[in-house]
Order: sequence, then structure tokens, then C-alpha cells
Amino acid sequence: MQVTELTNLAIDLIDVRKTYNRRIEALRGVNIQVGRGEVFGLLGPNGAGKSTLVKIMMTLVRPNAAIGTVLGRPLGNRKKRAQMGFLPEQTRFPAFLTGEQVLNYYGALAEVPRNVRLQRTSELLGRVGLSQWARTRVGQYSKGMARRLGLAQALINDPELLILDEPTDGLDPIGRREVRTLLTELKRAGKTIFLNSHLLSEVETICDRVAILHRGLVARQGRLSELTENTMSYEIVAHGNFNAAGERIKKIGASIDGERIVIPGGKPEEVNNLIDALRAAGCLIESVNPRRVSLEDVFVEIIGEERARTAARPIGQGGEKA
Amino acid sequence: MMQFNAIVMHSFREAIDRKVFWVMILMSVIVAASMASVGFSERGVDFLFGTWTVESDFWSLRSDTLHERVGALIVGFIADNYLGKFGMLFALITTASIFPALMEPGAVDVIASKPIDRKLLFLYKYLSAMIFILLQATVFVGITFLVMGLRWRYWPIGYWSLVPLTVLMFSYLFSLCALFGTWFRRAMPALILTLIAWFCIFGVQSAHAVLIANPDFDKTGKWTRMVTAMHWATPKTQDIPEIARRIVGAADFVDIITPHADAMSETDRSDFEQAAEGNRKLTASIDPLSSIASSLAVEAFVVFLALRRFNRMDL
Repeated sequence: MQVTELTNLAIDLIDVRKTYNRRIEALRGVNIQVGRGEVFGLLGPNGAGKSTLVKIMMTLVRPNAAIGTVLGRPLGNRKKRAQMGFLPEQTRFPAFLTGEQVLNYYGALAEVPRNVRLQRTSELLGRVGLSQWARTRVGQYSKGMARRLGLAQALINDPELLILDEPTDGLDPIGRREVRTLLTELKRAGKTIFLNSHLLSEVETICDRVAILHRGLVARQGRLSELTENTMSYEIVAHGNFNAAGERIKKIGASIDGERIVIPGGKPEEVNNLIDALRAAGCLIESVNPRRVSLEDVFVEIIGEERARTAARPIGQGGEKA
Repeated sequence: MMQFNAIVMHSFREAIDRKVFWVMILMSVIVAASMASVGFSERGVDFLFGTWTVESDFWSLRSDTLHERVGALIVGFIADNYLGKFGMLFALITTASIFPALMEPGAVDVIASKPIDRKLLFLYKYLSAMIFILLQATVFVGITFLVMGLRWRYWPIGYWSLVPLTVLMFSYLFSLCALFGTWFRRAMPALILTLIAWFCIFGVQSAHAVLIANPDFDKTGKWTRMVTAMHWATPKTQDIPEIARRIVGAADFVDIITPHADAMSETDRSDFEQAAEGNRKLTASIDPLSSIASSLAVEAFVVFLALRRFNRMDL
């Protein structure tokens, strides 16, 4: 696992464990560090324990074991929750309240003074595109509108740390883009954002660092560039006889697939040397393309490796039952 | 305080959003209007705003003890039946969903993520139910008090004690509703189990009343001891009307009927006198202070169980 040196942590979780009903191990010793001002993405397949981890941070679920701090105070500190904003995966607001009343209610629970609350209510409703629906009962909101309202309630106390569980779930493409823009603005404003999302492209766009959770353990954690650095490759499409450049191709570990030569790693000098060798051999270079493997590819690869590893272990030592 | 106010205001909005709230208000108005349609004159009792009069010295303004008797009837009808049974049932229907709604997935995640202590959140919600009933009872007692004063020239200040007594009785039952609500997270099972528990409490209190009223029972017997212990360990909802009667200063219902006993046959009168004697023993056995204190102790224990569960559960 690659570890990025972090100082001034917003979230520092060590050995977080949670077992439901003494049988289901949701978290088996999770360690996660998030620096202040970072946008951190938590990834993982269904049932990996992502929501449990988020709920533990918000004290909705009690861990069986956990050491750590959130915003410099021990996990579960009530006063620190006043500096946190949370959007759960599923939100259900009282249908009889208007959008404005919802924000006012949750603002009061977050101990935001009345005058600040009123000001922020109208500002946030505008920011999430619900100004014209401010006095409409939430019962008449669409799923996407309720999601936007959920995001607004998470921001009502101007939190230092924002924990978002699938924030763009239920939103249309325009809504998703608006949320991404909002998160980018918040990032610029120095907020720490902990994002739990299934949408890897979204995480890739916004997040500085990610952790991949698998079966209650962190399979990989680090900067996006760290996770993908060994997956950089170049592809050369050339015509002609490659035999004269065969030795160099073998030396740099490139592979040939018809007229395509794939060079693993991200060293441009090796690519240039190979191009020289190919041209010297009389080959015609058609194109040279850098290929960065997407986060989705890395995710699938890591989860695949983890599954293979656990399946290989005998039952009783963490191996998967059929 | 900001959080408390927000939760109370929220619960109030939640309550008035329900039709049953307005049904309760409408019922209160109907009862008050029905009371207003009855009047007392020098000749007797007027019904339907004087369209029909029943002549009676006993129920006329000429009777010195009219107000005591009216008080007994009103307390018997309102404290025992309207507020004590019908009102309680409607109040439980209205408020049974308070805790299940609080714990609905998606709702609880947002609320519990705010900087509010879970124990306080529970207690605020619990208190907000009491405030809701306080409002309903105040509206009802207020308008019926005015009707009694303006129509019957009867201004029993003690009648206002029905407001806290109604809230008290409701709190006995709502503690059970809160426990079942936090346990099952659904309003219907919480309501049904509360009604079953109320029925059981009624059974225990009735059995205890039989023991008190009947001098032939062996006070040291196994069943007697068991009923006495169970009576102590249940909220004494049936004591509330008697406590109200004493505060209002109304006559005992039996004493209203006693003057008519002369018209009964020998056997009926004997049965009546025996029943009246048993009733007097029963009412005399009620000590308001110990009744309320022991009931509150039981309520506190039930609330503690509910609070403990709510505080420890994964949401």
C-alpha cells in the first residue's frame, strides 16, 4: 500500500471495527487519514462497509473498536459535529415542511443562530437551485430536488468537514455537474470533503486522494496519481518490420499486438528511443498515444486482486465461501 | 434551548399536519356546544337551548347543591370518559408515530448527525408529545370552562386541574408507546401494544378495586398480594378521575344517586347500598400523592428503558 505523508489531519481513523449481530463483520480494522482541505473519495463495491464507516464518523453507528480523531477531537465528540455537515445516502425530510422550513429546522438543530440561519437558508437554496421552490412543501419535491435540499442542509452550518454519501445519486447530468461545481468551490474555500460515491468518474474528477474499501478493509489508499502511476503506458502504431528493433522492444518490456506496440510505464525517453530504433529500421510511425488507466480500471483490478486473494485462502482464514 | 424549541415546533407542525389533530379539536367543539345546549333554570334542566325542559327541583337553580352535582357529572363524563378514554385514544393515535418517524431511515441519519445528544433528542421528542397534549387539553378545558361559567354560572377553578391531570395520564401511557416505538420502529405495533398494555393496566386496577371494595377477601392471600404488587407496579390511570373530582370539589357520583335510592325496591336498594359502600371505600383508599408518585416512578422506569435502547442502537 502506498502511503502519503499527511500532517494536520481532519480525519484520522485507526483500526475501526464493526460487527453487526456478532456475525457480520462490516469493518475489520480500517485505517484512514484525511488531511484538512482535502477532497477524499471512499470507494468500494456494495457491502464493502463504506456507509458503516461514514455512519461511525457521524456517531450513528457505534464501532466495536476504534481509535481516532475527527477535526482533532476523539471520534464521536458532540461539539465537533457542529463543524461537520452530513448528507446520508438516503434522505427523508418531513413532507409537511417547505424547503425553507427544512433548512431552518436542521439549522436550529445544528445550533446555527437564527439570523445566520435565515441568511444561509436563502443563500443555500439559491446555490442548489431551489430558490423558486423554497416555499413548496418537500412532499412535492422530486428525488433530485430532495437530494439538492439534502446537500443544502449539510451546508447550513458552514461546516469545516463535509461528509457526503452518494451526493449525486438521483440527480440528472446537469444536476451532477452543478454539484461537482459546488464541491469544487467548497474545496477552494478550504473545506475538507469526504466523499462516498459509486461514480468513479466523479471521484476521479473531484478527489485528491482515495481509499478503496473491500470486505471491511482498506485495500488501497493514496493520491490518485499514486494509484495510477504504474498504470501509465504508451501505445505506438507503426507499419513495417519490427524485427530490427526487436532487442530494444524486449529490453523495455514492450509488447507487440499486430501493428501496435504497448510500452508499460510512463518514461518518455524510452518511448523516444524506441521511435528512433523503429525509424532506423525503416518503420513508418503512424501515431504515439499516452494511455493513462482510469480509476475505474484500477478499481476493478484492485477488487479483482483482493477477491482472488481471499478466495485462495482456505476457509477459516478469511477465504470466501462459495 | 434552540434545539428544544426547534424540536417542539417541528413536532407541533407534524401534529397539526395530521387529520386526527383537527378531528380532536372538532370533537372538543362538539362537546362544548353540546354542553352549551344544556341550561339550568328555576324550573329544572333545559335541553337544546331551552326547546325542551325537564322540571326538577333537584337539578334546578333553586337547589343549593346543584353545582356539586353538576361538577360530579362533568368530572365523571369529562375526566373519566371524554379525556380519560376517548381523548387518550385519539392522543395516542396522533402521537404514536413520533418515535418511529424519528427513527425512519433517512430521517434519523440527518437529525442524529447534528450536534445534539441522543438522550436529549429522545427527551425533547418525549416532551414535545406532552406539549401537544397540553395544548389540546387546554383548548378543551378552556372552552368547556367558559361554557360552564357563562351558561351554568358555575366557575370551578379546580376544573383547570384537568389540564395537568390529562397530561399526566397521557404521559403514563405515552411512556409505553415510546418504549414500543423505539423497539419496533413502527407506529402501528407501538399503538396496538400500548392499547393492550392499557387494557392490562385497566384489568389490574379493576381487580385491585374489587379487593378494596370487598371486605370478604383474604388480605394475606397469594392472589391478593399479587394483585396489590401488580397494582403498585402499574401506572394508576383510573385514579385520575377521582383526583380530579377532589380538586374540583365535586360530589361523589354515588352521592348524587343515593337520594333516589328510596324509590328502589328493597333488594335493589340493598345491592345499591353495598355497591355504594364499596365505592366509598375505593375512593377513600386513593391517596393522590402516592398514586401519582408511584405511577411516575413506573413511567420513569419505562422511559429509562426506551431511552437506553434509543441511545445504544445503531441508526
